Amino acid sequence: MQRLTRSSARQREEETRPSLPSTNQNSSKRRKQSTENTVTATGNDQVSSDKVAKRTPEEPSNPTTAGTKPSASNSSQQPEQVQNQESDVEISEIPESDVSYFGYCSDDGGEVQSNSKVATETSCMDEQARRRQQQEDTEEVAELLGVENSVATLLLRSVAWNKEDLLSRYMEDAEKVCAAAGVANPAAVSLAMLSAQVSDRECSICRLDGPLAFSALSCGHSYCDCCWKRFLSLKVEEGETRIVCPEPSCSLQVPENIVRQLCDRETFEKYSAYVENAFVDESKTCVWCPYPNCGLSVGTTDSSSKFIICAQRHSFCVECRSEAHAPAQCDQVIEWLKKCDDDSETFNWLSANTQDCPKCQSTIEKNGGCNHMTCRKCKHEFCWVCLGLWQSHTDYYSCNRFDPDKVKASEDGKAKSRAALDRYLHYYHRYMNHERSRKLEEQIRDKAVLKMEELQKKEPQRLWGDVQFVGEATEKLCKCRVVLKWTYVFAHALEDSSSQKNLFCFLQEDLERNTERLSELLESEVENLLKAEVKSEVLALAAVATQSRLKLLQGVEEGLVA
Amino acid sequence: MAANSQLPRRIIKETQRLLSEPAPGISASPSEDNLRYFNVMILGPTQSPYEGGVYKLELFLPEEYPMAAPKVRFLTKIYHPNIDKLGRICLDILKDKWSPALQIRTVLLSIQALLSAPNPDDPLAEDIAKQWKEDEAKAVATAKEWTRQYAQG
Ligand SMILES: [Zn+2]
Ligand SMILES: [Zn+2]
Ligand SMILES: [Zn+2]
Ligand SMILES: [Zn+2]
Ligand SMILES: [Zn+2]
Ligand SMILES: [Zn+2]
Ligand SMILES: [Zn+2]
Repeated sequence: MQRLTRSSARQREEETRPSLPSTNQNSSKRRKQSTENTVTATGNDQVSSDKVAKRTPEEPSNPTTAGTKPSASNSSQQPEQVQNQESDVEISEIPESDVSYFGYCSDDGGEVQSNSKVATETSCMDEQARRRQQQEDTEEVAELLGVENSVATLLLRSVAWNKEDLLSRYMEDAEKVCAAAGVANPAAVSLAMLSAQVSDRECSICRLDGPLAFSALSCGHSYCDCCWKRFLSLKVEEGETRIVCPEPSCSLQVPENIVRQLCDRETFEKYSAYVENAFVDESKTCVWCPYPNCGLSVGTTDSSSKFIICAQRHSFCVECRSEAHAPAQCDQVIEWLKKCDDDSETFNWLSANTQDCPKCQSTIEKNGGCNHMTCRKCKHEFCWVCLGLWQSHTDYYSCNRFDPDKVKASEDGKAKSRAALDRYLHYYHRYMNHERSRKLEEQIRDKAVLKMEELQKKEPQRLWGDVQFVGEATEKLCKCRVVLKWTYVFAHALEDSSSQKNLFCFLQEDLERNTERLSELLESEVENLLKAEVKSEVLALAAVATQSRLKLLQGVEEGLVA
Repeated sequence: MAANSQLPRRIIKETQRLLSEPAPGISASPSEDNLRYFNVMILGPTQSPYEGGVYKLELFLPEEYPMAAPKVRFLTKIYHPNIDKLGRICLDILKDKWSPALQIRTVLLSIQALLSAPNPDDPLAEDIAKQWKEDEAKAVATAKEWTRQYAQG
């Protein structure tokens, strides 16, 4: 079967600027990148968040996290991942090294006056800030209570790193707090280890006779240093993060500094990485980024929104751990993803990724971002989403409404379940379409960025700002895509023909129209994009699309009242 | 003995004590060709369904012992919710609660105690545990029957 490709933008470009080479050879490459795993990948994000939290040690991620990965390996995650780029990040919050070419759109806030909680994802404490925080808390507790840092760590860990809670409880009943944390009573705490007493007696573990160097925690259970070392190393090797005194009746925990004193450097580093990760695992104030193979932690306390962004710019929902899904609600997302999972994947994929040309019935696979399709075989122009004549789309990007009457009319012979399926497919099709478009647009952006870099090398006199707007505009485009994608999940949950739905569809239509216009423009050749008039059009469209996006999110937040 | 000289002092000392002062109802002696392998016998505790039974077990001290727990397994068939068909034992000190301060003696005493106090809430043999919870009298009768059948003579 002949695979047909299309791109109205390209075709138009070819017509107007015949001297430029066609980009069609790229489409065959792009076609390979399908979204076939998107639904399950998103679903997996959610399910696997716990597992993913345990990083593989060799996983390269952010240089700032090197050496902090625990060894518990769970690298068998799916290779596909939803690599959405999110960028509601103030540049000042990102470490210098992280600022990449297409960077951050930090201007959203100014465009729509909004104290919206849904509309903006917040970037929170990054890895370094988090570790600073952990260090500061530990030192403060150590100083206030007059204990060693490693003992302070044990105390903090026993209360999920809630410093205030620890201090107030400690003031109430220090004995109780210490017992719960597995540290000796306060008076003895600072003598965490009666170190290296050489003695002639027999070690009760190895049963060797002295003279041997003995050590004990403040409980006094004393073993030779050699046994301590073997014991601690084995526990660290096993991934134990709370090592207790070997005496079976004793519940004292081994503080970090004892591990440092008695074990080799490698073991100690491994252990301190555990303790550091324990901060994320145990603390209520930060979470692991759920994106497969990311491994970064993100603080949650300074976020006004449940959507947060890790330093790799993965944006996710703190509550359900899937991709940031505004305007859809968590429960809608969970239900939706479950539904997508339940239905046959092949069926979903086919219905989302291929269409038959309405005129000549050739199978067409979508390979570009926008919906204007031209059948290569018969040159029929149609809308990818509704298969209607492209020319008849007077408001020609508007193709978002599910018309229950239309289904009813064609429903005669159909069972009710079929109607429900049609309804679901209506939304599913559009949901997948936006996801697919986003992926393609991300590739377009990456290519554009490379091209721009080349151009800049060739023409160093060109200002950086003259080329980077493409990356930024595509970032904005991708953000609109994500929101559009989730609008269909939201709409699926809204009652048909309600006034809220009408308003929602109106906002959605507006966003869709502006997004598609921007998408179409950004599909043009880099050389074209460098023209001043095109640049200003891109900038204007990106701003308009962003505004539509924020308007929609705000509308949803305000309950969709006109 | 040549093998003896390579054996850690801890194992030698434990073995000596096991042989010289055996715990009541328990005997453990190292195999001649492998001093880390012990033949164990535990008498069914009085007032338990296993009373009158003699249970054979094997106990092996892995290379990492005493940092790692000994490996113990029943060789005699037994009807018990925490012991499965293969004789494997569900006992915390043999797993995560192991400590190098514990010994072969403490392990065997704990197994003996497990025979006196089966714990169907932490089952290894699901079917037996289920039976134990639903109809304890019947389960005890079955355990006694198995004792007669497999652990005597
Ligand atoms: Zn020792
Ligand atoms: Zn102790
Ligand atoms: Zn991430
Ligand atoms: Zn959510
Ligand atoms: Zn056609
Ligand atoms: Zn297009
Ligand atoms: Zn349409």
